[in-house]
Amino acid sequence: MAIYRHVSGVIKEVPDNSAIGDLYDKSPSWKKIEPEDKDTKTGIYSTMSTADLRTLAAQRLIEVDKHHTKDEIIDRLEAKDGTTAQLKVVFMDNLINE
Amino acid sequence: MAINANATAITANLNADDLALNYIYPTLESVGVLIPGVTINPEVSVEVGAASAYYYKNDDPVVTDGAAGRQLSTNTAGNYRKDILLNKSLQVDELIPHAGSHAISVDIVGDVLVKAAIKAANAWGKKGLIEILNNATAVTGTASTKSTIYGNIIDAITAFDTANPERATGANYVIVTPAVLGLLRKSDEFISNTVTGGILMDGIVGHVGGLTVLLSKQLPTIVHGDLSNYQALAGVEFVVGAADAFIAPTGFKNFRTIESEHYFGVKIQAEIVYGFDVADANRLFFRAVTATPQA
Repeated sequence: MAIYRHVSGVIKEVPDNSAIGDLYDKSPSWKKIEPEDKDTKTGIYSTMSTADLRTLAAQRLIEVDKHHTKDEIIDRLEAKDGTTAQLKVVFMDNLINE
Repeated sequence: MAINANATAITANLNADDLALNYIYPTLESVGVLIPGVTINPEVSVEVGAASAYYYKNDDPVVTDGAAGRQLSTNTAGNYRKDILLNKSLQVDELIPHAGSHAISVDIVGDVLVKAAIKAANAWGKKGLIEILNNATAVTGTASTKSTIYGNIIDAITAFDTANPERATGANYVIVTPAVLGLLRKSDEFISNTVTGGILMDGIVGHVGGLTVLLSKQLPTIVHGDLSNYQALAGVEFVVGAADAFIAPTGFKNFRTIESEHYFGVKIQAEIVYGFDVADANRLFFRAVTATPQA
């Protein structure tokens, strides 16, 4: 995923090498946030401002409060990246058995 | 017209204090192009005296395919609420001298009200356009000519569709400057709404590329100083967008006339509270020769 920032402060995540990414690259309104290491894409969060990280966290429905530091917000974002929330499907059979 | 019917409500003593602004607003003379259902979202509105408006925006969920009965996975899905505070307002404050109030006719007083409403409508319309440019996605290129304007509008529609891969509703309007309307009229692809090529009173002048064309005389008057997100702006040509992308709730307050104990004469006052919000930068595009963001 690539992360772009709009002049108004909106953060958008788009797939790598996508048509939307190409569009953003050509538009002066959008700026790509580059990771510290372009090869491994590590450190992309540390290059972002705390305000942008809060916006991104809010969009991903990660709860962050005012007292959370930049590092703490990054920890939460990375934790979300690492684990995809699992929604177990509860079958009617199980409900009947229980 | 309704305006005249309203004017008759004012007695010679100017004691009618409940002239509703929304009865004469917007007027046919206003040059604004913020039209519910055409350029602004008709679904978000407020009641008189409201302090805020809100809507719910859905975030994109991630879904996967596979065998039936698998575990479903999800991330970043959900709705979040966006609030629009109506904490800005346009105000009218006109004083009719005491000597004049008994001498001037009702028609003249009514005209003052109508002109004030037009000024308020135009001021609101320009502020809305500024908000659109400030929060839309800019496309830059060389100035359009009569032979390139159609292609440039189609390119903007293509960019709109590219940026909205999962939305069925496409762009529905293009707001153009008078200069660009001139180019369009020389272009074969432009379909005028009238046989005379005149401008219809609602601001809609024709169609091109499947979009409703609206003329905005205020669009070229917007400069970079109006925009907080850009340090340079030149050659704004048009805005392509969808009606659902721009939210412009307006709380109407009544016009009122008050007779003061502190001064001679009567004051005509009105207040229109408003708020703006761009729902998605991907659903509004503007083309300009130069658009340089703030560093």
